[in-house]
Amino acid sequence: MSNPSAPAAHRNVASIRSPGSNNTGAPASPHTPLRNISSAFGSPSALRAEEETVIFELGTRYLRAGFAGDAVPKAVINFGPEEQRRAGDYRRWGTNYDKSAAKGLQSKSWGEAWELWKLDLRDLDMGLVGDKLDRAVRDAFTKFLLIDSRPRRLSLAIPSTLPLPLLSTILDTLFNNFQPPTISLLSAPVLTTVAAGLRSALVVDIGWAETVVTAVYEYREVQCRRAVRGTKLLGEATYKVLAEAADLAEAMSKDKPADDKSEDDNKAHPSFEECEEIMARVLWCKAAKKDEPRRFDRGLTPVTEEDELRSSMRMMSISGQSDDDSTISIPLTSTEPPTTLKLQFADLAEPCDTALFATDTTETELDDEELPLHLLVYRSLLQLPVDVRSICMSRIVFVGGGSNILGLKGRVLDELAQLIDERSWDPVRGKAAEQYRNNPKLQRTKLRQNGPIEVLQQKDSNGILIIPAHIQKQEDDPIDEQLKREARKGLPDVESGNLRAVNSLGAWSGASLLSQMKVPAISIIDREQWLQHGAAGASKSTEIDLTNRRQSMGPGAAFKSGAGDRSSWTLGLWG
Amino acid sequence: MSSFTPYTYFQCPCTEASLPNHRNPSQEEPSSSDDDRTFDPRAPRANYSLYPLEHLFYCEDCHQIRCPRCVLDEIVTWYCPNCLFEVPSSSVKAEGNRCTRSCFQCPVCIAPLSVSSLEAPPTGLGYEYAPQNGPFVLNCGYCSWSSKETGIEFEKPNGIFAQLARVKNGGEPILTAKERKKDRERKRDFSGTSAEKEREETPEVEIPREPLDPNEKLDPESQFSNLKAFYQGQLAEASPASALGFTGDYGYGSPGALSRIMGLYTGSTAFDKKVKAKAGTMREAQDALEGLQLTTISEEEEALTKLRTEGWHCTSSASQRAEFLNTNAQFITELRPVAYLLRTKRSKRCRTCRHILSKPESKVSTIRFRIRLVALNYIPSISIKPLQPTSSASSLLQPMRPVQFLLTFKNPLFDSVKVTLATPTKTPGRFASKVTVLCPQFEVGANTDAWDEALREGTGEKRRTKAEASEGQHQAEAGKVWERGRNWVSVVVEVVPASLHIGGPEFLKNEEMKDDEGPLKEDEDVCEIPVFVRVEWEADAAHDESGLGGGGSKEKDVREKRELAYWCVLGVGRIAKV
Repeated sequence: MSNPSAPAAHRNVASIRSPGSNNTGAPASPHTPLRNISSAFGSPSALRAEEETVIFELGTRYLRAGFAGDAVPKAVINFGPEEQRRAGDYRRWGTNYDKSAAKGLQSKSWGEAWELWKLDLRDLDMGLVGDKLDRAVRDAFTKFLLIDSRPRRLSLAIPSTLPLPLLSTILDTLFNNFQPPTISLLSAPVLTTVAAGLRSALVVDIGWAETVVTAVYEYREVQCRRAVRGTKLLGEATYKVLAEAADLAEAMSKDKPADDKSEDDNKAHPSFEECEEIMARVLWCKAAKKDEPRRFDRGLTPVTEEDELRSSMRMMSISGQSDDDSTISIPLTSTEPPTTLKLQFADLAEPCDTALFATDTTETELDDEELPLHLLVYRSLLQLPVDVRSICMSRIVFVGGGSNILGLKGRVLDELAQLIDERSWDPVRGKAAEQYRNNPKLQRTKLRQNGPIEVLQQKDSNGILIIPAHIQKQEDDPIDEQLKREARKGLPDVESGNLRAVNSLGAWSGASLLSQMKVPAISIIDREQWLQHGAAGASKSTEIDLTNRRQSMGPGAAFKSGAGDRSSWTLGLWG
Repeated sequence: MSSFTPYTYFQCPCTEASLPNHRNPSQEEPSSSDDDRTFDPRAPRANYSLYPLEHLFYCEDCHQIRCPRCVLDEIVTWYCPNCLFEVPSSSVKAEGNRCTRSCFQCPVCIAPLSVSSLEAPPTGLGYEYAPQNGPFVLNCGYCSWSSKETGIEFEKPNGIFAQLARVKNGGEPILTAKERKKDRERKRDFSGTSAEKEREETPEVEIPREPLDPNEKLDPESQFSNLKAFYQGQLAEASPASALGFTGDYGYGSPGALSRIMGLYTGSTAFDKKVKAKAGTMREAQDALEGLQLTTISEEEEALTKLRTEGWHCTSSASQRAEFLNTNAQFITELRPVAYLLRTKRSKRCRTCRHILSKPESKVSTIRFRIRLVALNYIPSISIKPLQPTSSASSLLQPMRPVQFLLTFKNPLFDSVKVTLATPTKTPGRFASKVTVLCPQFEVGANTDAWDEALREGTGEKRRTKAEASEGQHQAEAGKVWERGRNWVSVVVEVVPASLHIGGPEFLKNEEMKDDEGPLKEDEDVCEIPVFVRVEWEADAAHDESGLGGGGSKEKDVREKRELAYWCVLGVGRIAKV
């Protein structure tokens, strides 16, 4: 056998022979172990089928690209204005190139020039989106992936709610300019779950334009809530803090009132890129305010010594917070002239507080789409059915650019724990609800209702009570019970009911894993069919018979099954 | 801003074709039919279709300009830009598109790193021959970063890539995927009873490592490999029945396939039950060995205290993190040396006819091309200079003051070409400058031997010289060529630059201005003129092919009329701000 993984398969036999005793699951029946055909001795066509799947993850700001089977993407390409210059415009490499022009501020909203798309499609030029994407993909191919323009299959990891016009533009661009035979669409939250090694999770994606909380249960998205509090708002808040500090510094140095200058106002302020950089480097997030000492029963850290370490760490940070005069100096180069800002360390946690946790507004004043993160997560959990909730709350996965901010995850978890303590899982809140609960009169009626509700009882001719079928208790089936118990025997307990956060490798890595595992996506779009019909040719995902396709998904079959094989196809979630 | 060099950009015609179906329906106005639409170099999409002439190709079979967007690439060689080692195509992907010798870039700046010994260099007689002893480190010659700062040292001065892959920042060893696999299996063996005996029978020579910690903190690579192994195991256990379609195992020998075939005619009874029983067995990862990573808060708090104590300069910048290995490195001490990314030499093919447009020599060290059909050899190039050499200090255009520019068309073809120019009277955009081409139609001579011209000089038509022009005897006349040479012609363009004033009375504003009254955008003060160029010539088809394409000449004396039409953008100068 020329397969390099053959010895591994051989070793596997040992584990099959000793089933049951280990905790790795149900006893395995004899079977042929999986083998990945990555050897160079396979037939060339199979080799290509194995290797040449390219995976893209598309977001508002970045394109991630790489090959299936890699742990991390090979290329991360941004859509900033520097990337959008004409070909042959090399001014940004010039020594006297003036980066300080506050370009990000000129456009209508913060950082609009850095986005690939806006979710408000009304005045979005789809052609421009296509052009940007085309250039980014081309860059990725030539500079990082080092592949030529031979057709190869693509997998696309995209947010689960991508507007159809955008998706259609993306597919148009990819199919027309890069000739992939097929493109599979995969949804990012599910991939994130896969890349965390889980089946269910609450994926908190702190993205650019919005934070999306998606509940995934058994690899299915069951709920999705969103709020506008993302890194875009955070960036703007950071800019405000920095600009104020810069103004203050300037006023101090020049001894003139800050409102005197309106013309060269922007000059003293940092550029978008600098704000981003500061966000990535020094921004942090305060720990949650709390009255009681933190409880450790959340299962975050099973090891006790770590708890001790953590409490000592917290002591340190608390003591750090108490002396507020610890400053941090930030060199700004995009201002004119370049300056060094001296900021209090606590100031750098300000943007996070205002932008992501809305500490400056009360909850009642917030709209549904601007809930702070912890409330968003709480509400999202609250809406879930109780069993899904118990599974999901111990599998919270933070992803997205905002999740890298130091202390953010801990803050959200702590706030969430407090919320749960305070409100438990009761969706009804407010004064009226409180009164209702405390009203002794109502309490009594409630108590009475607690028992089984009286129903009209009938008696048959013999005087025996007839209980209608729908009220009758379900009969226990002892055999069934036993079977279930047997089936559950080998399975480990499922962690549930406590708050716990899990790290994920991210959607890109999930897509890479799945592609290498040859798990077919629900939505596989054929080039010919797309070019013929476009999005209009797709049928609903429920109409597609997936079992047929699965049978024909062998390495060879992927080639044989051309356009004729699959008469119907779907856009899945996005259709 | 002080200096401005005039430039020309060419639009590849391929974008014209793809424009309509990409356009947003809301923007589609009934008046803008494709023919009388002027090209707007300020439009955001224009940046993607404009190229300098040097970036363009010309397909001889389609007789069309080809831009990087309408060619197909084929890779000729992969090589390391640092050591110029030619990497065979079979190993490129396995090596992750990186140079696996000792070429590294500094993670702080991007300068190349060099390997040096930590020991003092040997002195005395024959010191040149004395081998240097380890440990070795990587040093940056530019910012004097050293891998010692992050605790990485090497035993040997060569094969750094392999050595680096085995050591973490701080000097701890990294378990490779293979070792992890072994450990995983050993762990499984421990839990089994029968396996214990086997181990005794085969005394293992390898050094007993500590068993893997189930709460270990994994880096992305090892987490990925753990996850992969876990899922593969789960898939194999959970769905042996569907192995045929599912797992890439397409042999009929697998029990799954056999049971499926046996179940084909007997109905699905026995088979289905088995599937149902198995359906739930795929579970989730349990610990780090299976790729599960819990978020630990303590780590973040540690980083926070570090940030608090050490400040801005201990953190890594965004450009340092742009390198994909270092994306998660918050601090400078977490940065790792970056192996050089390989580069490629590519040959280009026309997308429509698949003919080769450019093919470089496959050897890395040569810069010659076997085939190179660049547009520079087929399309008249355009250069711009002001007619009156401005003696004044500023090279900026004064608003509302007419300026004349000389456009010089140089013909690279061996046939004379007829050129027709068309410009909108006002440049598109918020600041509309008025443009007049004084001579929109002219012929440019063939690119014949330079000696022909010298011989013809005496008898040929009188040629205006620069001296005469500067004397001021000649005014630029409408309809007449300003200056003409062997294979070049200069014509005059008159531009009245617009004022960059943004406010002002309502009736003076044009449509765009009314829509957008924001401050001046980047490069909006550059006066850019869209010019539609139409080139016609009669080519000797046979001559063309034998001369450049290399094809056989079958027919002689067949004159073929050729035509090319494309948009150009001339950047003539910056308008002064008043």
